[in-house]
Amino acid sequence: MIEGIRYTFDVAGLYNGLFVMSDRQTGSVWTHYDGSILNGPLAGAGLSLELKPIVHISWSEWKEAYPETTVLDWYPEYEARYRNIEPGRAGLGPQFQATVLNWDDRLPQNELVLGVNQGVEFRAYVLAEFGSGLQVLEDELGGTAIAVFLEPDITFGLAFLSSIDGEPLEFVVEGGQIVDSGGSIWDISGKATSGPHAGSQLEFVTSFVTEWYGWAAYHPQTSIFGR
Amino acid sequence: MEDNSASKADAATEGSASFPRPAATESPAELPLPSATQESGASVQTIFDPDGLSIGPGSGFVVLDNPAVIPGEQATWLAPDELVLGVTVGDEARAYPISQMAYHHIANDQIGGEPYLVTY
Repeated sequence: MIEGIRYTFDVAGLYNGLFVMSDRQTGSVWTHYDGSILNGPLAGAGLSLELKPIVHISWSEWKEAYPETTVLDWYPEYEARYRNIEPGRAGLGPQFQATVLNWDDRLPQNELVLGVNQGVEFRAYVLAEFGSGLQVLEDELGGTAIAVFLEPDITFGLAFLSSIDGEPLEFVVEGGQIVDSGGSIWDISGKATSGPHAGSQLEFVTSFVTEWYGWAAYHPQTSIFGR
Repeated sequence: MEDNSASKADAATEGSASFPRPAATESPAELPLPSATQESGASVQTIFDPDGLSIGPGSGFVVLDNPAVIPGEQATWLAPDELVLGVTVGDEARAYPISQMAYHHIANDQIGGEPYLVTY
């Protein structure tokens, strides 16, 4: 929804290595990556979808964090098209390859990264370069202090501003939980579940786990953490 | 665009939701996400070449509109290590198994009474 209008989407095709979407209301073409408009009647108006954090994680970990979760039902009619996906597995379909506009050989094509887009600066965090278990990385991107939540084993990663209402926060992981120096406990979606900040939500910084080739194709200017 | 390659079109989320953003007053402080907006003016948009848009044979993806959801405990077919996309809106949490989303790619859904687009 943008400015009171709800847009609904279909698959438009492939562009620059990724599938792109078209909205049914205007036929404009959008990235599925960050909800921005590539082409069509809405292009150039500075519109984009507001992004929410989406957690890329194993079912068991998600259910443990959110026992009351609902889940997409199984559609038997599409069962033949469902298959196990191995994000990060080497290889890219030739039809995807043919559309990529910018190859970046700094990392293997299918390397899993947390791509973080702060607005003016882009950075990739290579999941495999971080240790096991949940961790919080303090970093600065585009002059803004951010906290990067990572758990490479379950392909989880998200970034948030590391402050709340202007108050800087410092995070550590204790007993498998993210805790700030004031004693609040934060869940993996950046919401405080207990402590002085209980109920507060950290401001999301656009970020998602993705394969390197797509991140680099859309954001050639990206840096890579630690390099 | 068969599904084995579809898996490479990775994640992301999108939401949307009541975002009565006055086009004129784009105060970054009020926007959770400066991202796409600034970018659309620069790189991505200007490089778009409609000839570069392709739809491979055998696509025929079926996107989901207001998909059926069930309580997590009833999804007995899901293996513990199966990857899902997880979203929370207020007190509501919802998971979308990647094995399904890599085919559908798009779910035009509602979570917590608000419209959300979930993509993979």
